[in-house]
Amino acid sequence: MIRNVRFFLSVIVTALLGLALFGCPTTVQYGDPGAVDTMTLDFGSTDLQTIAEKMVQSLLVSPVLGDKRPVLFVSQVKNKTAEHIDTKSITDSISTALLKSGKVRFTAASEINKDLLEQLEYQQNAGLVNPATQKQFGKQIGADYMLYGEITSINKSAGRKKDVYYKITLKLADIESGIIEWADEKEIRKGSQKAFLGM
Amino acid sequence: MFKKLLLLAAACCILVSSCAPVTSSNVGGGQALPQGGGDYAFSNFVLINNKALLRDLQITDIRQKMVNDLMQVQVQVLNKTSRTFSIQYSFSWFDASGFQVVGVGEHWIPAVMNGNEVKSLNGVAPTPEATQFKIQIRK
Repeated sequence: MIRNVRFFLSVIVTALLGLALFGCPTTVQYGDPGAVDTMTLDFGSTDLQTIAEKMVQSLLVSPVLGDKRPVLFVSQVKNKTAEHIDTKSITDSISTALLKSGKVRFTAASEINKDLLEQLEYQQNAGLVNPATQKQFGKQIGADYMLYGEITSINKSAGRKKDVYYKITLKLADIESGIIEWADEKEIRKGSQKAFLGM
Repeated sequence: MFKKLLLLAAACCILVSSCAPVTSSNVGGGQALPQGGGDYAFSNFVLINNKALLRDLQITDIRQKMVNDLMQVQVQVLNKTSRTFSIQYSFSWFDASGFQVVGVGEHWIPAVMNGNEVKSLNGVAPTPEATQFKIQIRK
């Protein structure tokens, strides 16, 4: 009787082991890019989206914009944290949302100045472009304001606990007067704790 | 030997169950907050898809104003419990015809509700065309 039970259990264990080892094929599925990302403590998509949204909201309701549709020059957000953060992505999200609002305009000079110059030189000098449609040097619009900022972090850990604090500061300076017309900051705190018994 | 086999079987069960697909609680067929107040019928603006949240949260105030031609909205939420818990919220915006106005993607913003705290959830319309809004709140 006991021998039968042992045999039966051995079969079950072997079957379960087989399932455990070979029964979990890799599956691929699409996810919601707007979902909250809590995979790791590192700077993630939710942090980027939250920062961009809060900064854009703050700037859009600022009196400095009004009906003027000022021209902005964007300087890439500086990363002063210890980890690698694609700050161009933060800058792009903020500038795209601001542009879509229709309340500001951006000069492309900060991003593609060299390419713009090459295209102007090509139109002027290649001899291939209809003179009636040639774009002239010296016609670009000078930016009214410069948008710049930085992201910093403080990391702490004690035992199984880890804590990370991010702060991003953005400022808008009047290029002519040098006056900072708008500034705001957004803080994010995240914590994690390793399970005592984890797999 | 018998005990060892049982333990091995239990360990295998854990291994197998850890590979099971994880179900998520995305918003869908949400339930509107049944109670309104002030000048607003809150249920027109707020969507909460979780029964526990409906019990633990109360929308105490909704305000809106126009700033720089853009609709600014403030939704005040009260944590009716003494517990601290996390919520996620997302604003959606619509034009006068009811068509959705999409900014730079729609995403969920996490917020921590401390015990008995009143928190303001703020949103600004992505474009001047947006004249209506909806906020979804989930755990």
